[in-house]
Parts: sequence; structure tokens; C-alpha cells
Amino acid sequence: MAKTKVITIMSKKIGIFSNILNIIQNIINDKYGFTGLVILAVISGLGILAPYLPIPDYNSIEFPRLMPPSEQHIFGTDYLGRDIISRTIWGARISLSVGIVAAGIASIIGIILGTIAGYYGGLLDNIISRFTDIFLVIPGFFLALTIVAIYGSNLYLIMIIIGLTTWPATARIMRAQVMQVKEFLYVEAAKALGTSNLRILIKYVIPGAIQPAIANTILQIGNAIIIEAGLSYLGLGDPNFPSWGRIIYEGQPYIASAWWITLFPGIFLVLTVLGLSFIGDSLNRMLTPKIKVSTKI
Amino acid sequence: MIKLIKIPSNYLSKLVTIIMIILFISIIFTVSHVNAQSQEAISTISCQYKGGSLVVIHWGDPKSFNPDSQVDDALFIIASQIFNKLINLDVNYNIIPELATSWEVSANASIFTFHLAHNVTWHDGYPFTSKDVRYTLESIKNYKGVMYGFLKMDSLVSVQTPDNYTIVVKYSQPFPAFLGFLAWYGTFILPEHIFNKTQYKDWMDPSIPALTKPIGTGPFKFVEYVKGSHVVLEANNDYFKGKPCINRVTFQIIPDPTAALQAFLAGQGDLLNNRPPTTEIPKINSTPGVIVQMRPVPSRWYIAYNLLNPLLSNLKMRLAIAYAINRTELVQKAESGYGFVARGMYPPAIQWAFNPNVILPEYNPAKADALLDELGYKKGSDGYRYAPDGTKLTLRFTIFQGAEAEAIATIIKEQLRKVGIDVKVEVLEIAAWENKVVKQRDFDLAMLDGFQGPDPDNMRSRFGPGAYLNMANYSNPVFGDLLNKAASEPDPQKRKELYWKAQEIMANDLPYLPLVDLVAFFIYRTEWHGFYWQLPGIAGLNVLERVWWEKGTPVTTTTISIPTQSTSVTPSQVQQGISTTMIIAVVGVIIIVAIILLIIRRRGS
Amino acid sequence: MGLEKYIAERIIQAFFVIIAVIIINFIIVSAAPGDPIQFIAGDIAINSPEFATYLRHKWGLDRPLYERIFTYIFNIFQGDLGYSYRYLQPVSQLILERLPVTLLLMITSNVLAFIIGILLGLYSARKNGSFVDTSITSLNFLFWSTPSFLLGIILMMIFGVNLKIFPVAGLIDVRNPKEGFWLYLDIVYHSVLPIITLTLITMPLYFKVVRDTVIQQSVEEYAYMYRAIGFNESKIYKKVFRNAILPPVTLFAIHIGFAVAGAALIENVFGWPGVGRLLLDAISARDYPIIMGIYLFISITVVLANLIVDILYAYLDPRIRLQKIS
Repeated sequence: MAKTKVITIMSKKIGIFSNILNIIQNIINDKYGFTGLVILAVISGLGILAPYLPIPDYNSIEFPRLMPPSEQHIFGTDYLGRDIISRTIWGARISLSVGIVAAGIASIIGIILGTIAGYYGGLLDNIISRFTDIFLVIPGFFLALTIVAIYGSNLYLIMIIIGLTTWPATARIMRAQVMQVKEFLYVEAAKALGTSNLRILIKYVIPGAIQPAIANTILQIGNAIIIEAGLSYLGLGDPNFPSWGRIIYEGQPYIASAWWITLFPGIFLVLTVLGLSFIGDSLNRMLTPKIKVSTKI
Repeated sequence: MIKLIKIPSNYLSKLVTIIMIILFISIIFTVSHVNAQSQEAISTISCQYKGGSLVVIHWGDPKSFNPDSQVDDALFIIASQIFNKLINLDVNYNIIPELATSWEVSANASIFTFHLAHNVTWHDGYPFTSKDVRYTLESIKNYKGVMYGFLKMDSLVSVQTPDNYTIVVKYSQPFPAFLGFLAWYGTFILPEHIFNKTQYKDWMDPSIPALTKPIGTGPFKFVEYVKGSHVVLEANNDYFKGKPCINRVTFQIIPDPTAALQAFLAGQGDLLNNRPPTTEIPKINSTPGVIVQMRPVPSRWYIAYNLLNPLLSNLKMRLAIAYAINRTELVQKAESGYGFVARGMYPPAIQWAFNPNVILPEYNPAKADALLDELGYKKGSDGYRYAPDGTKLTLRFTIFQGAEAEAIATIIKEQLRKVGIDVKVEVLEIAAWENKVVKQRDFDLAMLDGFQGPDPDNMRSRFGPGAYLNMANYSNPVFGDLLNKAASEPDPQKRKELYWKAQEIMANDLPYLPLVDLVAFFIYRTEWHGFYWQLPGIAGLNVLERVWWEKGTPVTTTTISIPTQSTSVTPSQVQQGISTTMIIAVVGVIIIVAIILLIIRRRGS
Repeated sequence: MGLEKYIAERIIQAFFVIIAVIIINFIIVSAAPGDPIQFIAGDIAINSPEFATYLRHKWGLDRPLYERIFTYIFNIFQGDLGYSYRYLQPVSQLILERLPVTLLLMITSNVLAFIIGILLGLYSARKNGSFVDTSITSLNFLFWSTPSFLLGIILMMIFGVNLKIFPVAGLIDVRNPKEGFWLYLDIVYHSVLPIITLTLITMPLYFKVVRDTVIQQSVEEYAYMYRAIGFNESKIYKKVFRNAILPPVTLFAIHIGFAVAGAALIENVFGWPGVGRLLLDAISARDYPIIMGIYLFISITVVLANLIVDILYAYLDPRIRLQKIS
């Protein structure tokens, strides 16, 4: 274990960049990771290119309502006459943004708190860990639901609230990793040399411990997308944006007759979360002793 | 009822709203023209077929079983079976007798005398008398029941009981709309012998047994209520109008409209009391054995402009917005054509009070553009208009949750985008909406629906200066004056003139913009008959007392035997059923966990 | 000796966590805008300020925040979780009434997910890398990535509406209520779709943990050692299984802690009157006592579940408790 970590950290000294390339290489080699990357690339590609694609205005209500999939409307139209494929593709932007921002917020909070708890230990660790426990125990989805129900369904509020309720997992993972990494020789050495704690944290500890946290963050993106979909299903999504959850919610009353409204964004949502799960899982597995086996024999 | 004040966005509430409105229209019509009421004798229930168990797919849980103490729309249809009112409204909003078989109104419309039916008993056998009516009315006053304001309890002088079957209600001022309100909502007669005990603080004291096991005089008796699941009622054999033809009514509570519709179509229910999406109506109608009937109702969606907002305080801006809205498109897309473009400033369904000469701005985007240009907002490159100082013309459009409201708001957002106005739709859950829009008046544009009946006096509660629901902050003293005068004007012709004038003024000021007049759906299976909409003049709104089932046992003149499917499921049985199943599951879990622990233990040694 | 100290430590920590959760819940819920009185009394309160004051006093809402929190905590230890404005019943009673329904869904689906997940995980790990393994794993990922309500709606549409095999919604058939044995059967019949949905959603969790652990364990040193000694593969496999069983059991215990919350969306889709549904309705209606009561209930069960798991782990794995003490 220690050997592998040293190898990884040594390569970090060469450059974070090459390390990232290394990781990506590993993901591509793993069939699940590769699939995930492809799915994500396609969907986010569609989302990014949305304004340039030959699809109709996603807000326009000009078209005939509740049309099944056809040549003019590949995914059909909804109950107001809006084109579904257009909404689904723009929905990729919205849902992925929600996921990334929410997971990002959760990640930053989690990494900071986890690192402090793991590195300094003692009372600070105790306090932060209790704090983390409390948040782990409060049912996050319902807390988000209550707050959105009370304060209104604003997309930005939703992003922030999801971020604020899902950080504990990352914190815990980060803490566990930091607790391991801080015992490494080179960290001790840096301390002995008199390097400030902050420098140690930023240069050695965090980069050394961060991979599982990153993996978890990627999984959290998927989780955030599902939470937003759940909020939208209960009617609390932001009606100004066609997130996938929102489109599913809008299509639900018509599901018996106009199944396409709910199905296509549903497929995109599931595929995206699937892709993210594959990638995150792949990252996680890269850290398991399977690597140890290959270096040993 | 709630439609008057706030409108929950449930489908059912729409249905109730619509029904209410229809009722009120006829009430207004009847009430204002007659001084001494003529009454039809209550026809007793006679059945061609007996037997049957009606299942109503219902949209929500009742809050309690006191139908007069708070706004409780989910309770209303259930309460209409358990309780009776003094008088009721039929599907055309005519007043029909219930517990009061006849009544007289004084010439100045301030004294009302009711003569009560004689052979009425409560479900527990106790006889019904005028004491019960007095207790109910006085409680509405003392405990601030739902109808406190509408029944003008402040001006109530006295409720007297000269004998067991006569009630005299005296007001200090003329109150022409009294009968209409009395027949409407929150006026179910409660059993005095149960409620009126000194140990109870008020009529919602938790220790009152009738709050969870209600006792009424109505056609159906309470059997059980499993929260979140169902309410079961069984026929009241001693009902004063005669024994109901069917044995049982069950309300199966399915809040989700899709699930409710699917359950209904799958045969789980006979009457659908959860408004489905309008796009499904043709499909429902063409389902064999199922019928959809429709009635226009005087419920309407309308927009409120916040007049305190500097942008909207300018009439030209309000007109521009009105010209940009295509209300025909709203009806076609949001209601699938099942609805009407709103006309005038008061629902046309209340015919006598509706002023047809008042014309609302027609859809004319060119005019809208012209007005906006005139106001100095130029279209930018992104299609939106900007003020001279560079700020974008953005308005918040605050609505409450619900598929219909959201659909309308989305369409309007698009329509206003075409003329360059940026609209941000803000959806709030109904209580939060009421708090923000009605109480705090923190909004730019808001939208709500609701009936404006039964009497145009309702306009005072909605649009009058200082009224709670007057979220636009509309205060035109002339308008207010007219409404006040009309409220206590006994002469129907003069009242009408006052209300017509008020509508003209409001149309000129345009603080509110009516959008769509709604339609109610009655969705049921053809094997059931005797619904209130089929029996005008006889059956009260929502009352199922005369429902019969064509697959029941035919009633011949000789035999009187009635098949009863009287397996009533007691609460304990359902709970037991769940608990037992669960116990089995738990035992299974324990066994599995034990096995696993054993394995682990072995591995440890 | 060391074990007792560890357990005592953990119990005290759990206690403080619960108190903190109560306080946080209370603050968040009370800080919400809007006068709760309005939700109790509706517009009557608006029209009559005296009535509003009367109600406020009745529900103790006119007292300062810290006093209310203190009273609340005090009441909790007496088993009083508060009183619902709308239902006029104690919150604890409301929760207990609906608990069997939720537990029926959650325990059954968790047990099934546990068993099926583990079996599939073992099978898949054994065939690591094969087409079968890839298919099963991918399928599990797929279910993991599907929102619960979406899966529920899809199953309801296919099996309830189109194929008409199972009932669409509801707990029992209210049209022809059954009694005795047939009642249980009716409930079971109505529970098939919700339970299948929940099982499919939860199964991947166990599947993944078992599969990963087994694969990891089988390349651990001791497995190689056993191979070198000459044990055959299936015997090694059994030992691996014993090591692998602990994580899913831990997961199971923790997941049960979230049992109440987990089924909420499914209860909504299928119209089941469980605790999750009660919570969703309460949030809509701003029934704060119910909201707080259920949060508390969930928190306590999760904390307890975590506590039990930690103690179990400590008991079974001496390394942990020794580490904690040093």
C-alpha cells in the first residue's frame, strides 16, 4: 500500500497534469469507466453545443401539442406544444449544471472539513466529526424539500441546498484518507524541515488524499441530479428551466397517453447518472489493492 | 369555499370551485329576486334498485370532521354525506330545502325564519331539533367558523328558537345574500348534544369524540377513516328523506391525479373526484362504461397586477400586458379547449350580476408593442425590452403549485416574451404563496383562480378596498362605495345597477385581468345513477343520497328484502392485516440475521 | 474492559448528536417564514387577531424560542413528540399508526434486496470478467442510477395499467374489503409493485459491496496463501464469503435506519399511507409538529442503527476497539 502511494505521490511531484492523465488512462482501460466517459462526453457535448444544434427553440409553444415522436419532432411534443428533444438537450445543461454546482459545493465543504478533522485530530476532529454525524443523520432529501417548499423553487437555491446537505459523505472520506496520508514519511520530513502546516496541507496532504474524494464527488453529481429530479417530481422544481426532473414532472399527468414526454428525459437522466456512476466507481477501484497485486507480482 | 379566499391548486379544488360557482350563480339569481321563498316539498327517496357500494376516488385527506371550523375542501364532499345543512344548492344553484322544509324572509331581508323537518334523528338516535341549528350558528359566530365573514356574524343580532322546529335568525341590517351563503359551505348542522358540553373549550377541542367519529343527520353514517387510505360510510337507514338505495360509500384517497385516473380507469372506483388533465378527457369519455359530463362553472383564472409596483402602477403597462396575452391560446393549450375566454369583470355564470357591456382588452400584440414603445422600452438584440437606463424589463409572475396554473403561466411567459417582456415564473406551495402574495404583497404579477360567487358581494372580499384578498392593492373609493351600498341594498334591481357600475369602473382601472372561465367535469361509470347533477331541484350539491346502482336488486312491490354487502372493514382489521404481514417479515429478518451472526461467530473461532 | 468504554463513549456521542439534531430541526422549522398560526386556522386568524392570539397561546407559540426548544426536548423524553395542528392527534400516535405500512415496504424490500444482492454479488464475483458478470453489474448500475419514483411510475404503467397484473395504487381493495386471511393477501397483492420497485433500487447497493469485497478478498494475501497450501477454490471461497458478509450486514443495519424516509416517494406514487407520505403531506401543509416529529424519529433510528453497527463491529473486530483506545 505504502509503495503504491509513494509511486503516485512521486508522480505528483512531476506534475499534477501527468497524474491526471494517468488516471484518465486507467479509466479508459477499465471497460466501465470507458463506457461512462463516452456517455458523459456525448451528453455533455450535446448540452454544450445546444445553442448551435438544429433544434427548435425549447420554450416555443408553437408546435402541435402532444405529438408522438415523428420526423419533425424526434422526441415528440409536450402538452403545451414544445419540442421534447430540444428541451431534453437543453435540459442536459440545466441538470448537469445543478449536479456539478451542488456536488462542487458539497465537495469543497467536505474536503475542507474532512482535511482539518483528519490532519489536526483531537478536539477539532471531535467537533467536526460530531457535526458531520449530525448532518449525516438528518434526512437530506427532506431537509432540502422543506427548505425549498418554504422559500420557493429557485434553481440556484436548489443547487445550494443540495450542496449544503450532501457534503458529509465527502468529509468522511477525506478525513479517513488524510489520517492515512499524514503518517507518510515525506510529510513527517516536511514538518521536520519546518514547512508551515498550510503548505504541507496544500502541497502534499490534500493532493495525496484527494482521489477518493474526487471519486465521491463524481458520484455526488449523479446523486444531486437525482435529488433535483425528486424535488421536481414533487412539484418543487424551478419552472423557468427545463431540467430533466422538471420535464418528467410535466409529463407525468400524461404518461398513459403521451409517454414520450417523461420517457426521453428519463432515459437521458438515467444514462447520465449511470455514466457518472461508472466513472466514479472506476476511480474508486483504482485505489484498491488490485493495483497492489499487479505491482507485487 | 376556499376558492373565495385562496385557491389550492388541486384538481379537486378546482372541481369544487367550479361547482360552487355554478351554485352561487343560481343562488344569486334566485335570492335576489324573491322576498318570500317558495319551497318544493322534499321528495322522499324511492329506489328502483337497491344495493351497491359506491367507491369515490378522492383527492385528499380531510383535516378533521368538523366541516364548519376551518377551510377543508377535502372534507366537503365527505361531510355532504354525513351532515345536512338547513338549505342546500342544487346543480343550478337554486336553493333547495334540506333540514329546513320551508322559510320566510322579511321584507327588508334582515329576518329569516326557517321551519325544520320533524322526523330527523342523529346517527346516534338522538332527535334533531332547533337547538342544534342554534348551536351551530352561534358556534360559527363564537368560534369564528369558516363562514364568519360571509355570514356577516358581526351583524348577527340573535338566533331564536320559538319551538323545537322553528328557527329565527335576525340581522341588524338587510342581508340579501344570506340564504345563498347559508346554502353554500361551512354551514353543516352539528349535533348540539355532543358538542355543547362545558368541559370542551370550543368546537375543535380534541376530546370531542365527534371530531374523529362524526355524528350527523345525513344519508350516510361514518364507519371508519384510515388516514391516507380511505373513508368508509354506510347507509343511514333512518335518514329523514328515506333510506338511500346504496349500502355504502367509500372514498379512496389517491392524491396523485395520474394514479387516481389510472385507478379509476382500472375499475377501482366509480366516481372520479380528482380532476384529471384535460388532455385525457376524450380518452376517458371513450372508455366503455365511463361517462364524462361537463358544465361551465363561474370559476376563473385571473391575474393581479401589483399596483404598488411603479412599473405596474401605469395603466398603459397593464394594458400592454393585457394586449399581449392571447386568452384563446390559454384555453386551447392549458385547458385543451375545455373552458372559455373570460368575459367581463365578473363571471358571466352569475347572470344577473354580470355586466356584458364591459369589454376586456382583446389579444393584439401590435398594440402591446406600440404601448411599450411609447413607455420608452426599446427592444434589445436579445428580443427583450430595456428601459432607457439599461435595465431589462423583467417581471416576476408568482403562482401557486399545480399543473394548470403552471401551464397557464408558462404560456403567458412565452406570450409576453414575444413583445419583449421577460417573465420569471415563481412557483410557491400554496401556503407560502398566500403568505407572500396575499399577506406580504411581495410580487409583480400573480395569478389565482376561484369562484366569485355566490353573490357579487364576494367582489368586496376580493377586490374591495382593504380586503384581505385584494392583493393588487386596488383602492378606488367610488368602487368601494358602490360595493358597500350594494351589500345592504334590498331592492334587487338597484343592487344590479350598482354592481354593473362597479364592474365598469374596475374594467377601466384594470387592477385585475380575468383570463379563463373554467369547466367542471363529472366523471363516473354508467352503471351508477342518481347523481346530483342529474337531479336539478332535488339533490343538493355533492350529495349522494339518491345514487342507485343498476346492478343492484330490482325493487318489486311485493318483496322488501334487500341484499346487503355489509362487510364493513373495521380499522382494527386493516391495521391487523398490515401488522401481521409486517410481523412475518420481521421474523424472517431476525432469522436471517441470526443465521448470519452464527456464520460470523464460526469464522471468528 | 476496553469494549465497555468504547460502547459507553459511543452512546454518549449518540446522545449528543440526537440533542443537536433536535435543536437544529427546531430552529430550521421555526425560522420558516409565515406564521404557523395561519396554517392552523386559515383565514379566520387573519380576520380576527384575537382568535389568532388565542391560538398562539394555545399552541405555546408566543413563548421565546429557547423556552420552546427546552419544553420540546423535555417532552420528548416523556415520549411526547408534539401535537399536530391538522389531525388533532399526538404526533407519536400518527407516526405509530402509519409505521407498519412503511416498515412492511422497507423491511421486506431491504431483506429481499439484501438476499438477492448478495447472491448476485457472489455469483458475479465468481464469474468476474465474464459476460454474465458484466451484464449483471451493468444492470445493477442501471437500477442504481434510476430515481425511485421514475422506476415506480414505469412499473406502475407497465404492470398496473397496461398488463393489469397488479393493482395500480392503494393499500387495499376498498371496493370489496376482505377479512382475515384474504385481507393479508390483498395487502400483499397491493404491495408487490412498490416492493419490487424498492428492491430493485436498493439491491445494487448490496450487490456492489459484496462483489467488490469478494473480488478484493480473493486476491488478498491469505487467499493466495490458501491456494499455495492447496485448498481448493470453493473452500477458499467460503472463507472469503465470511469476510465479505460483514459490510453488507452493516449496510443493512444503516439502511434500515433510513427506512422511514426511504420509501416516501414510492408511497407517494402508489398511494400508500405510510410515514413517508405523512411527512410529504406535512411539509405541504406546514404541519411543523409532524415534520419535526418525523425528522426526529428518523434521526433517532439512524443514530441507533449506527450505534448498533459500531458496537457490532467493535465486538467482532478487535483491531478497531484497540485502535480507539490507543
